[in-house]
Amino acid sequence: MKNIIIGSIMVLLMGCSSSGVGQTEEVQVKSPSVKEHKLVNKSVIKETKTSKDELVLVLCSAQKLAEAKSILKKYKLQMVKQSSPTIMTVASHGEQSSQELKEILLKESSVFCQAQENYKYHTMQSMKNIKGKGNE
Amino acid sequence: MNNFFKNMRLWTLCLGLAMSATSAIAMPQGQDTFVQDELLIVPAPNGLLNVGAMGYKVMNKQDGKTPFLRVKLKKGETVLSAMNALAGNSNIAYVQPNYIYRAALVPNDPRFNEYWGLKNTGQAVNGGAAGTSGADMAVEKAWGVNTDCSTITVAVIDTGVDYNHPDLATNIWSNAGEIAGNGIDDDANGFVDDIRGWDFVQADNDPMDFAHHGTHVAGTIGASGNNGVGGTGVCWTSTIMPLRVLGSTGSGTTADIITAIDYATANGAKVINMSLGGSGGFTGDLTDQAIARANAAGVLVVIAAGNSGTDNDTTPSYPAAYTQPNIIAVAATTQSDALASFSNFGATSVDIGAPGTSILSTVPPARSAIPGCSWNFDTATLQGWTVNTWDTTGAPLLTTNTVAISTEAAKSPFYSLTDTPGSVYANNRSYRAVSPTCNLTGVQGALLKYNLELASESNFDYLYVETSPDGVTWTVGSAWSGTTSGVFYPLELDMKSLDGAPSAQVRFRFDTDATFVLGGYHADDIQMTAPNTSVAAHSAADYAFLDGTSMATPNVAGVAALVWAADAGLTVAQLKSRILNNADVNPALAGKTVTGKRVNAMMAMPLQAATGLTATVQTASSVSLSWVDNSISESNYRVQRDAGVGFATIATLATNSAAYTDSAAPSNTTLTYRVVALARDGRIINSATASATTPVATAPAATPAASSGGGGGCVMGGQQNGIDPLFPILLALALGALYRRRRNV
Repeated sequence: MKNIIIGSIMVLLMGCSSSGVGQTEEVQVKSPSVKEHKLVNKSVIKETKTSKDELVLVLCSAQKLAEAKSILKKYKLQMVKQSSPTIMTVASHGEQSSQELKEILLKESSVFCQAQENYKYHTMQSMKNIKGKGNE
Repeated sequence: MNNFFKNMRLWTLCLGLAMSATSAIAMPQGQDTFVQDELLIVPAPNGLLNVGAMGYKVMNKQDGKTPFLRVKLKKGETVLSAMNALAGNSNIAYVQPNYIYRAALVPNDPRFNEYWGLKNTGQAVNGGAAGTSGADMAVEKAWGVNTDCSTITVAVIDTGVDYNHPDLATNIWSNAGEIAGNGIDDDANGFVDDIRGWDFVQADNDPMDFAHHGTHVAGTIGASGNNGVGGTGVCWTSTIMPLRVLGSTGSGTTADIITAIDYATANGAKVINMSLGGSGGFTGDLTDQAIARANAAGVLVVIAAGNSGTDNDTTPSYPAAYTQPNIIAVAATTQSDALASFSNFGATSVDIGAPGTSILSTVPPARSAIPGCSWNFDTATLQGWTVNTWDTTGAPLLTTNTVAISTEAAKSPFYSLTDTPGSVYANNRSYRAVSPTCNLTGVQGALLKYNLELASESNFDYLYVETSPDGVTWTVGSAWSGTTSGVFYPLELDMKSLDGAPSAQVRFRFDTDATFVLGGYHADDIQMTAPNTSVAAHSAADYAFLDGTSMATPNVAGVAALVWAADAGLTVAQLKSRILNNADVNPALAGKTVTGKRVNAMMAMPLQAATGLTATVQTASSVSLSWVDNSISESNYRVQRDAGVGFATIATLATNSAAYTDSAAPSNTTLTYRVVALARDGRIINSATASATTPVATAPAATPAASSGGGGGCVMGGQQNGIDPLFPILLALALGALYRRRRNV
């Protein structure tokens, strides 16, 4: 096992921040919106399937956006991103699991038609034998 | 039929000693079809041919191995007159012009010979080993039919595309419905000023590639060919729609990918390339639904099988593992037609293989270090970094800081940044190191590069790499724990969110919990970089070899565009079937993919009907046929004869055949012939018919065996009795040698 990196990566989501150096108190960032991946070696990055608490929501119509934002606020959910008029990504503040979040949001069936974990994808370039000019 | 085939047509002319009304020799039209002062002569078996005595000079070496004579014509003689003069010579079995064969279209791009996936001659590339000749997609031959895919928009859902690359700039999709820069969604597609695609990561209209992956993929599909620059794509001209869903470090999420699929579908893409994957997904999820919508719109989706070297049947990689009918999931093959070691596979979930190792294609220019934002610590100083240590039990700043420069380990001489030089780290600490400010004004696509060696309690003690636009608010970009076993790894962090910030900073924060201690981290050669994507920054060097199913996938997407552009009437299902069912059987993919095949562009191209079919009566029982073989994608030809009761197949000939002698023709009968080109997937196309009437048999005749394969030819009719039974075989061998030249050009 010596030659195997058994480290892990955690990528936190946009918008998760801590206070800065120089302040006398600092809140430890243990954001639940953490994506953990195993780095077995540099050629193959193994990831967990998704963030534990980041969801993709599909609005039933673009006209439901304001209503959707209101619901997110009610449940203290953060809209990380709006990819299109009807697709948005949300993250919780760690009080609910993704399954719990889905159940909560899908109760608002007139606003949210679908909810799903925001799976992560990455390029399928092998890191082996890379030569030549590029940005490797 | 394009000019290439007009010039490449193969005529086989027959000389019949038993002359009939249809036996006149007609010379083919066209320029430079054959050498104007030469003929090829096959002596008759056991004949006494002396061409020297006839005034001809033999041009080729006669070593007993070459079955024909290449002769120079006499002064003033033409090929036609010479053939007519030789028509009655019983010492000659066969005579034909010395046809000029032209190679398939070869682009003038200087690095084309390194594109083994398009044409594999066994060449070694990228400093690697030699490959296997023919282990390619036969794209060069397919170019004989089509090089232009511009009618087929191919969406590249990836890290973006360097649309300023000189080999891509003219092949980028342009949104005709959008007016650049007016801040209005002119075409009401939900995206403002999306003149050339969209960046779903940053939600703007600039899908520039700040990594390199998407540019490489796009170049494989459709880098400009035959423009004298660099290399070429599968398509010489193309329409690439750049859709950026993966950040500068190559990662993205469902939300952006499904939106990009829908964008491509709604905005006219016919093919989507997704050289990406992940373990998350399930049948019917949002990505699956988006691909289903693409299917309903007639869009083909080509997806990488994955690079884990595992079986997608049991460990699915998504989106390749979805079962929508418009998906082609692609494994990677090597220069020797092996399954690439890294390639995922799946007997039921991965459709086909395609070249995916040492693939040369376009990349953006190398990134540049942002001035003042590189820290190698080689001078044993902190180079402006501020360091301190906190006690996380009460979060006080400790008076004794232990973050420092150390010689314990280094990527470059001789120092690196570390938490506790000479010791293991302490529990309940937060070791901080903050960079000087960096001016990112005017920068687009900033990226942090650093080398990290780490030994920490896995999943408990983390090194956070954070960025800040102002030194106050910090955003965690990456967090690492575990051990790298003493090895430094080059890592990257996408900083595009800080583009334009005048005072951007980086922080390495190593937080430990209450138990267990190890050596901590060493960080070295930390650097903020910016892409060089201006038009002026590009050069002829902006190409790279890469490996991956990422690289195999656009080879298939390019072939799909090439075929679809040549056969616009295909449905998406027919296109998929065309590609899968005309590929080359590859034993290395047997049981590893659905088809067990590697893609073959040539065989997937449309069939072309044979033309110029002529039927020439030789004897009462023999009719010679010749035709022009126009197609490149036939697997064989069938010769069919109708003696008044309907067509029936009388012979099956090899690919590229252009002549056949029906040696079992019924006498005293009007016979109608046609030749049928067949493709591997069962497609057929008939030639026009040709008829001939055989005379009444006047004497028992020894019926020669049917000539088949090897390209056929015309049996001389003068030896009705006592013909050498081996003659057709010898003739086939002789002509086969000639015809093989065509396959090898």
